[in-house]
Amino acid sequence: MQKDKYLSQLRQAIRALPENEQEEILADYDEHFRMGITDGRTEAEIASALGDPRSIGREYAAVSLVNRAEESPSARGIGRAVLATVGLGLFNLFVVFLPFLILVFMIVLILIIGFSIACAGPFLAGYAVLILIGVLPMQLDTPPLAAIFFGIGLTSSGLLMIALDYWLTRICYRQTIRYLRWNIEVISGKETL
Amino acid sequence: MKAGIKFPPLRQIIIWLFIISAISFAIGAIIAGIEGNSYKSKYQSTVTPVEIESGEIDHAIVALEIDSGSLNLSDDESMSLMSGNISGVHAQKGPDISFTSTDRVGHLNMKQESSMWLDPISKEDQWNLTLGQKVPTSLSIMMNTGDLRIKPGDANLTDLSIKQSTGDLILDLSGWKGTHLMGSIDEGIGSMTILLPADASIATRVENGIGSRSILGLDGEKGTYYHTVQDSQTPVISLSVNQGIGDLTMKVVNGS
Repeated sequence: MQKDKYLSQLRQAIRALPENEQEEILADYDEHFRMGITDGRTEAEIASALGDPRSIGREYAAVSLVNRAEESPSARGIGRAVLATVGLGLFNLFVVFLPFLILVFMIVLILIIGFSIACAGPFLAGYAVLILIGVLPMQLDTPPLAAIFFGIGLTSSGLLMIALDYWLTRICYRQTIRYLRWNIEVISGKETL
Repeated sequence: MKAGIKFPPLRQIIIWLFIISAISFAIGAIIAGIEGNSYKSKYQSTVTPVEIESGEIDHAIVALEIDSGSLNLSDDESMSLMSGNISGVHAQKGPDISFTSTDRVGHLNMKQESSMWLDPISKEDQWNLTLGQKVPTSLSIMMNTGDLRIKPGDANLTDLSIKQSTGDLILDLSGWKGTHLMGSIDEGIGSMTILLPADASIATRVENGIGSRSILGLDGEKGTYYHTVQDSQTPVISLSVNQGIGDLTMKVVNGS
């Protein structure tokens, strides 16, 4: 493959990256070609030695998205980073995408449970208060005064679950970034791109 | 300058929420432990006595509409059309009871109001009623959620209609002494046990969706079962049974 075609394919593969990053990567590879030609190798030999430009582009895109997800944490950012990493190989569908989905499901589930418990507390406490003041008939299997405290306990337990879920999410976010970086390094066979 | 609520560190929030939860549950548990079951007497359940005299009627049409709870219905040798009580913790008032008589036909309606707001918490109405034996009676029972235990004994039932959404049903007609009985039973979810008298001719049509079907003492198959007594004076029972989910046992037994 000739240099122009190689660089053109590489540009196409990294088009999702910011303009300055694209230029930097293309300049690097242009430099590889110039050095190789100085050493007396043909453009085809250099291209072959550098590897498939589309694979290299995907790896750069994945690394860039992981970096961006790390710099500005967001659900969209980590989602795009995961999808870009999955795009590096079919195997990643099972070792990256599936675990990521399970993780997200668990975090959302804990959030929903915590929210439900937190909401149930005021209802229980409010209901017990209405029984105490005689507005509603007694229909609880526990003394109303105890139910008020159980209600407060439920609310704070629900909020505790939400807080722990937030803390867990932060840990999982950091670990996901680290895992994605490690995964890309293993696939590309390099320490850093 | 950007104004906003300044939250304490997450770790501090978690610790405080944990402490509040633990203390609240502990206090609640201590109160519940100290009060035991005594709190129930403070919020005594309502007991509604039922005493309906049959008076001068030739036939009674009795309709019971229960939202949730349980019903025990048996026979009674007194002159009352219906007696017993309804106890529960259902709001401030008991069920609506009305009895009217037209052309020597008595209409007894007993209806427990349902409440979407209160019912899911712990409504447990207990209907303990007896049905008089003297007057031929058409009995209709509608139960939303709960168990039915119906043993009319010698009560002169001529028609029986039971509609039950969820719960178990025991219908013991073994002591029935009438001349003819038309019955229809519809149950959504729950087990059903029906005992029928051996000294009556019986024809039943049974449909049950999911669950076992145990038919004892009746002949027939594919949902149609019968029990024949070779005597022109034999009382006749005709029964239609529809059950959604649950086990069904239908058995012919000697009268009690």
